[in-house]
Amino acid sequence: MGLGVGAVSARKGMRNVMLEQEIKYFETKRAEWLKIYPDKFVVVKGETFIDACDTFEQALRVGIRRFGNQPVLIRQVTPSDEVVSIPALTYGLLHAPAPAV
Amino acid sequence: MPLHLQYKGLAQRPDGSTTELPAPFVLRTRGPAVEIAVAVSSELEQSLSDANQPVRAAITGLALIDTGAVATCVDETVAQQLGVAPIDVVRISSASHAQADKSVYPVRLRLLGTTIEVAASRAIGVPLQPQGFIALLGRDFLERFVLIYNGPAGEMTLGL
Repeated sequence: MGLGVGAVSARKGMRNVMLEQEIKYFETKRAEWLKIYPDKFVVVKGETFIDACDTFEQALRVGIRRFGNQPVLIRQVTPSDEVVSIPALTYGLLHAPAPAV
Repeated sequence: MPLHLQYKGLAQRPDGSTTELPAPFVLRTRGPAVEIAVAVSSELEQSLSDANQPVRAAITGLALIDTGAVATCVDETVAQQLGVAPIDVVRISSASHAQADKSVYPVRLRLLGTTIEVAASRAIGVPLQPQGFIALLGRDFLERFVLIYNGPAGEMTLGL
């Protein structure tokens, strides 16, 4: 990847390509890791497995300790991806605040 | 110590003078917004300090408490200004596109006017500043708090 600190993520259509290599690698390994690291949090850099941790916080520490402030994938090994529901964004319900206090 | 807010706002009359808006109206129209500071995660701050690298200053602004959001979101330009590298990508729906992939950032949130500081280690980067906010505080944030929304009084209390 080699994207620098604070780099604006490159885009291909609406697909965010930041961490694309790591995510593709994760997908190729998901079935295997479900057997050996179920529910653990894996740390992946490029196409390299770094570690599997019991908690997200442990995995974050591993990622930052090894790679500093570089993009690194930290994801829980589950059968499917996290479903994210943000209705205010989905339906465009946010609006500017009322006049300042 | 909990954060207790009574919402206030001013409106301008046609003659140019101002009048105070009723607190329930301000809370209803503005929503339960709080002033926060968004900073890099404590783990990253420690790592940068150990490497003698600068730690960018926290960015302050308004955050909206959103009980409908499963996860906390941070404005993506704020994450970029902090220089935080992403740690994941999640897929969310949006009003203008069927789905969009958004980066996830490890950040830290401090409620201004209090000593309350919490990790938001999986904050989703989305465009929020056009709506006047720098963060949406979702249920992963709220699970640590007691939230009292007092509509008739135009007040909101957030306590640990």
